[in-house]
Amino acid sequence: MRLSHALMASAIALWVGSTQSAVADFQGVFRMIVGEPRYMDPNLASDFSIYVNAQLFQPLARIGGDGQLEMLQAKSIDLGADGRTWTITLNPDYKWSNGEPITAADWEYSWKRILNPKVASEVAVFLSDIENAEAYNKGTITDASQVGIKATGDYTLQVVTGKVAPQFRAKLALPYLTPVPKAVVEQFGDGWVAPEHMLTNGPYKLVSRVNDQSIVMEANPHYGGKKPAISRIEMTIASGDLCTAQLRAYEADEIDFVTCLPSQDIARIQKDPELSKQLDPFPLAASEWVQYDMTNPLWADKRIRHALGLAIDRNAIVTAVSNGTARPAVTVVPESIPGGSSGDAIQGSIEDARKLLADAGYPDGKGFPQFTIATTANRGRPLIAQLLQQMWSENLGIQSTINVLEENAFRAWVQSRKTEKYDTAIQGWWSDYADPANWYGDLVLSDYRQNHFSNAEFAALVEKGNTEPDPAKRLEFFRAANKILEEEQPMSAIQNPTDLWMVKPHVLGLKHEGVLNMYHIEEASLQ
Amino acid sequence: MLSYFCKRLLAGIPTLLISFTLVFFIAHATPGSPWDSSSNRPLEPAVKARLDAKYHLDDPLYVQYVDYLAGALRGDFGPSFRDRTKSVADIVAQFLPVSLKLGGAAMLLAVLLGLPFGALAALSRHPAVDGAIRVISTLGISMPTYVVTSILIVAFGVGLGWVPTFGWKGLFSASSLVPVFSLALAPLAAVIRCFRTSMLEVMNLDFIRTARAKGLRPMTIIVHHMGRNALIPAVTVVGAYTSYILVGSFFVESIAGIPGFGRYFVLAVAARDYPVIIGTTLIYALFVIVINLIVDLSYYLLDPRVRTEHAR
Amino acid sequence: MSTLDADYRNGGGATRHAWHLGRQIVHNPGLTASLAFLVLIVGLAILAPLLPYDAYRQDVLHRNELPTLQHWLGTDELGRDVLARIAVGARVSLVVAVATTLIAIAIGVMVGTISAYLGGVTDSIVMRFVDSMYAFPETLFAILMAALVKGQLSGEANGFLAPLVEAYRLSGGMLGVLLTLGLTGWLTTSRLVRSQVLSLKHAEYVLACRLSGASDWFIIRTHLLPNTIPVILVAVTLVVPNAILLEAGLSFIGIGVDPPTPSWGTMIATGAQSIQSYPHLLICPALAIGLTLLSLNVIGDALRDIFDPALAGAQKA
Repeated sequence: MRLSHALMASAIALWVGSTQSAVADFQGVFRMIVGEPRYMDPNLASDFSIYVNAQLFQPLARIGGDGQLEMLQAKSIDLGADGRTWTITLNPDYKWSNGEPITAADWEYSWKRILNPKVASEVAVFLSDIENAEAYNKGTITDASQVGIKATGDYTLQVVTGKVAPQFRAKLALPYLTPVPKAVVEQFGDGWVAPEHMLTNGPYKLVSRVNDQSIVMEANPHYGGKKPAISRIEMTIASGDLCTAQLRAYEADEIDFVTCLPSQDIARIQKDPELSKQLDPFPLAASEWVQYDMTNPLWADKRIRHALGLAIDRNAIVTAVSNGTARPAVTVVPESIPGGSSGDAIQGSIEDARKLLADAGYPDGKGFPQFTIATTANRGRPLIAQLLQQMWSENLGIQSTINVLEENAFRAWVQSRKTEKYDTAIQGWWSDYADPANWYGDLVLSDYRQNHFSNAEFAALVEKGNTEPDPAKRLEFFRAANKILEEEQPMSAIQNPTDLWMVKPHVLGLKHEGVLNMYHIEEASLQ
Repeated sequence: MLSYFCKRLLAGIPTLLISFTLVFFIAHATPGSPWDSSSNRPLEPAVKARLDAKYHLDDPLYVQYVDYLAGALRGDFGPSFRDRTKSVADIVAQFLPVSLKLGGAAMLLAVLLGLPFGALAALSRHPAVDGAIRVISTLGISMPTYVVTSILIVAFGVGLGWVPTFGWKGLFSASSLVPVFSLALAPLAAVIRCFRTSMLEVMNLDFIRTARAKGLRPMTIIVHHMGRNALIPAVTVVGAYTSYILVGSFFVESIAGIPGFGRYFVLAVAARDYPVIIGTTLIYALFVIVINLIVDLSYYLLDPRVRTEHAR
Repeated sequence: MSTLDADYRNGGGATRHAWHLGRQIVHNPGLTASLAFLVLIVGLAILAPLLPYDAYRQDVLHRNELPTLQHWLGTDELGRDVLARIAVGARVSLVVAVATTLIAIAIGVMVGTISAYLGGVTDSIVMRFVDSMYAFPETLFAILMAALVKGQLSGEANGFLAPLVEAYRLSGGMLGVLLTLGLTGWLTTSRLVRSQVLSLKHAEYVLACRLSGASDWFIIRTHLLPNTIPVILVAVTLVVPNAILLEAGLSFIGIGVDPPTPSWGTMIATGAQSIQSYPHLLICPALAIGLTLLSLNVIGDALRDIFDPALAGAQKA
């Protein structure tokens, strides 16, 4: 017993001792909490890993406030007279983090690596406009030299698209499309992302990474742009409830920056005189909606879809889920996307909705079969499902059950809906590049969410819009497509989410960038 | 004696095999794919097919089973699908020690506090002391750990600022205080309850009366005569808790941000990281087997009766 | 004669146990309070529909309200009455506890009895299997099982799973939790029952019965099973609190009962996220589950004291 007392005493002494030394000097260090990046390899990262990656790797350009390209790693980007040949001149000031030059060969290698079927990268889809890219990626041609990407000089890269593709300009600014150091990747294979091997072209370099624990970055001394004012970034990795973990650490002054807020704490932050000033909202070009299985006979009658859409009280949803910080949405495509317009929304009151349902043969919802609302377990979606359930029951007299699926199971469920029947699902989409093709083409025509909406007129309009080089005419096609999309109501829009950042007052100049709401810590400074 | 333990060790082999089979088929029957990340776009079927082919997930399940088993027997549990640059062995080597340290500290705390409090509850003349200790210890096994951890972090981390709210800076840092205490609560309660009961039983045995009659100091009687004999049931309780505490609690680890084994297992389940799910489960099973053996061994050391039984 | 013997043993035992229990209730205020609290919770669960507020009725304008005279425990994140939800949540917890206990006891008794009675190879195979299941981390196994059950049953009905899928849908996801917990909860029972049957198997009156030509089933039914009842009761005291705790844990991480059905676990999950802004959302369900488990543990202690002193105190939460 005496020995154990001594042990305990020494343990307590050690604990207390280290508590005091834990208060270290954090000057010049930017601290934050992020989720575990699935990939550190920028050629593979297609999920939120890009937010971490964006501090290390930089694309050719980014899209400025006026919608035009601002050059980063490129000195110039020119489109040839044929509308297909893009000549990219690299800026030789930018160097790898070991001082070696970044050449056009690195870029060519990197993009072809993305397309390489053996690499199986999800980023490949962003390069599909390029000549033969899809064929090479699908394995129908095996010769990579036929792909329209070629280094024509040390610092000039030539890219040829398969057909005229105006939306490719926006894709050149995607954070997914960055270079990797050819020599290092070839030498170390998958292991090149280890801190001791990794070379970066962005403002920071990777200093250390412990899986699921921490990532540390320091300024890249050979970065060609403006030298970052913050010299060191310390990221702690969280799993599970990322927003809650962030807010707690933020309020305890352990981190400088929060990228999301737990829904239940928004009201308190807004009321707090100090914290409310640190709140930094950013309206996302994103939507959430409830969609109907268009191959399910239950929804064959358009009046039923209209009735369900009109019976949704969007203000109540926005209030309950985000304390009014998200914006009620009446159309699926956000207004900020060319082609989107809230004027296209279906009009009518709850009374009209009831009447539509009665006209369709279900007065007061009588005889309408009970159906299921499927949703993923995260992002406040179960709350939306419960609100919809009550609104439809109260306003229309139709009953539903809710099926909440864990995230990965929900994805599998959505994939299997390609062939299997379902009722309704709550879904969402955010722009991954600032172009209407991203919504009307990728989301709706490619049927990424298994909505099964098929309308020949709509498809023809979007097809024309995708290849029309004249911006004004292009917009007309998408405007017309948007009207059809809303009138047909395969999805009923609910809300446009808003990202809620919180930034400590001593951090200056941290800005929102692009449709993905990226942050670039190199632009910020500490006071 | 030795042959008994050898037999026990051999009996562990079918146990491991059954565990392996169960977890293999449960994991693979769960819908979802290891390649589906949380990106905006759905996973391209072609990409999925290619990755499946690369990691042999397109083989018939029984072929995968045999392949994986053959690999596991050679000690090769394959790469983690969640982070393909790491092998399952790397994952275990990185995450298990964190949980072991945390769990070891929690177990130590539970035993060091549990034995004296259990003895105090048994020996105290005041029914109030006994009652208070009993209520507190029952409360300890009645409160879900995620509630305790959340409350402690918000109270001591956010509210008072005494401990970090999140993350892991090693066992001997303030970041381990809340997790260690939360983890220790349940075994602490169990040790108190168990030790109290067995102390009460031992109290009335003849040899204690003899020792008292001999005029030995009360402390000597309590520690050397009673404590030692009452320890055996407590060892069983400690053994039952040790394996699951050492391997780490998912709830405590994910709320407090501890990069440990328990949290990783749940992340692996969410990511359908089959090799890691299987590998970690087998490690856990091995733990249970070994700790059960240790418990038996400690009976042998603590209780002369067991020793003579085996000698025969 | 042997039947008489068994009857005497059981009957006498039951009376004696009941008498013990009665005496405990009188002399142990903790036990009295625990029983009273459980009666309160069961009453609340039964009378849930009679409460002035509907557990499902949302009121977005009055959400997250502190306890008031109208809403005694306040309102939740969608403006629903917390007291009403705790009452309905008690139903979920109790149904889960009772049903999983029934599943677990049924499987456990069957496996334990057969394994012990048949002995030999069957026994070693079954016990190896039980050992392997034990070697699984229980919570983690439940998480795996829940993901599997939910994933398989929440889709469209097809083939032999169709009735299960329908039952799953009607139960608001509760069936998944029941299956998961039932399939993980029988281990302790089977071990306890097995050891009891093993010790009885060679009892003189069983041997006598066998010599007089009774069938195996007759012996199991009339001699072995009745005598395992005390052990089963002990097992129940271990399985019930564990089932409630695990259900809450599964719901806490979002793979338990589907919304809008309230469960203490989902309420605690919301509460844990709201703890900084609306602490009452955590405190109310946490107290409900904490006090229920406390009461069950106190009652379990008392029952174990009566039926099996050797087991008292030695339980795994």
